[in-house]
Amino acid sequence: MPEHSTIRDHILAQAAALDLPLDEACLPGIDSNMALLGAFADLLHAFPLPPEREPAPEYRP
Amino acid sequence: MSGPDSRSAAAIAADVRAGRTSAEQVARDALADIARRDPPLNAFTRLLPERALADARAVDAKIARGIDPGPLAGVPFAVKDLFDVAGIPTTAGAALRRDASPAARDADAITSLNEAGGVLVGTLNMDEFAYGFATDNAHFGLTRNPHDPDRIAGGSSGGSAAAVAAGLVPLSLGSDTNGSIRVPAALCGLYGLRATQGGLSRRGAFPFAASFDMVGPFARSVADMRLIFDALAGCRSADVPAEGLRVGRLEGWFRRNASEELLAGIDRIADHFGGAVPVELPEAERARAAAFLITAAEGGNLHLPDLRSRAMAYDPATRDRLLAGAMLPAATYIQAQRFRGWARDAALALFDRFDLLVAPGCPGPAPRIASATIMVEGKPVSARANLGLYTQPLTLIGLPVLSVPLARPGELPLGVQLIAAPGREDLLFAAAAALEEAGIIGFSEPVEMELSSR
Repeated sequence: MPEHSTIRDHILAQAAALDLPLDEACLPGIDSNMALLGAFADLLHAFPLPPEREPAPEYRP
Repeated sequence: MSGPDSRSAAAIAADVRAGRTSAEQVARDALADIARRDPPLNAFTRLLPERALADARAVDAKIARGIDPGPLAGVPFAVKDLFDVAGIPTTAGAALRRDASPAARDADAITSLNEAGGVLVGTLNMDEFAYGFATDNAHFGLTRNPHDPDRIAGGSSGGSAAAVAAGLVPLSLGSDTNGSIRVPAALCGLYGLRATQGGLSRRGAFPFAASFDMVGPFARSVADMRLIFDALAGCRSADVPAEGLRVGRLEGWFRRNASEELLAGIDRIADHFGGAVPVELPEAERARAAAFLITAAEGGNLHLPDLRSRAMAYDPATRDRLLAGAMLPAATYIQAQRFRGWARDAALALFDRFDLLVAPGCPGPAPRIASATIMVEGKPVSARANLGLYTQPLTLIGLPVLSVPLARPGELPLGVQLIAAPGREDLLFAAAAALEEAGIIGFSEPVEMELSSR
């Protein structure tokens, strides 16, 4: 698990990449929600999928 | 419920069509009843008396001219505050949309119900932008559960559920992205339908996560549920027998954390159909994770422009979830969508062996407002984020699911999900009607209905 300051730096870098200003008051809530999403992401990435498995949404021109 | 419900949509429509009462009188009575009994419940965000009376008079005028007013003749209904209603802003439960441009026309679902003779009387409370399972809204207040005002109604369509459970309207519309119809239906003891993904028009319903958003109805009986679904779908659902259904009882993920009473209720349902075969929904926990991630990413992306310019105008409970979702890596979102395809194929294979699957709707009864938590794996977790434990895996796949209430007069409601193959809502209605007839499921009147005196 990265240090707290590292997580905070990561959040701020992500937000900067999206041109998304963050109020200090939002940071604790973003922290906890990112931790939750991160746990779900770990679970998902641990499941092997064959290369031919395409994303579900279908695009019809 | 024993005997015919005089407040049911079917009974009201029959009375209006036969001239025993007028649609205008029904609308006036409903508006007065809501004004008197809703304030302590806080299900409604807005009453629409002028429109309701005009629509009701139009129904009466059709009857006077000998024109069929439709199967919902004069039936009052209300909608979650994310449906476009012509002439007023669609708030989607957000203060920052109070000044939005008024909707140019009604949402398709409202038009369908109007064309069937229904009368729109008001709009209903929700979690801000439908992101939550509590209907605890920083701007529009908390909606209370009619069965116990010290408990939440569930969300995000909590106003839609509370209004029907309290008997303020016989029918309502909500939306279900991750369980936002099925969770409040379970906690308020109602029937709530999430139809097959893509099966009903969502034009004019404020979006949340495009992969999963569905509009859908709440009702107090199977007959009323079928009446409103047929009106929304624009055709009569098929009459199919409930005998001989091959029933599977979802195990594993769907038994962990569920209350004993709920599991006993599922056993009664299984027994009615001659027993159910235990079966696993493959990778259910990962399916829930994928639904959670896709929702976060799509919701965050949808709101990114407003999050950049006025994030502090959001409800804090919604804002921080959307901000985190907006920053989810693309690799994770795409992985979740690839997993979705895998999960669909694995789930559809179950319907070679089964016609109907049965699973809990929520882990237990409605949580108390004061605690706002539920126990998962022995730990207290946020009810707002976690009440969809059993609904989210099914969201991912897009199957039709009817949430039905176990018959529990005098006790807090518990809900069960009946699940069928895509497009088989008719099987859900047949199974639910048989279970209702047998007294195993059914709406129970709230015991604590002294709302106006609280």
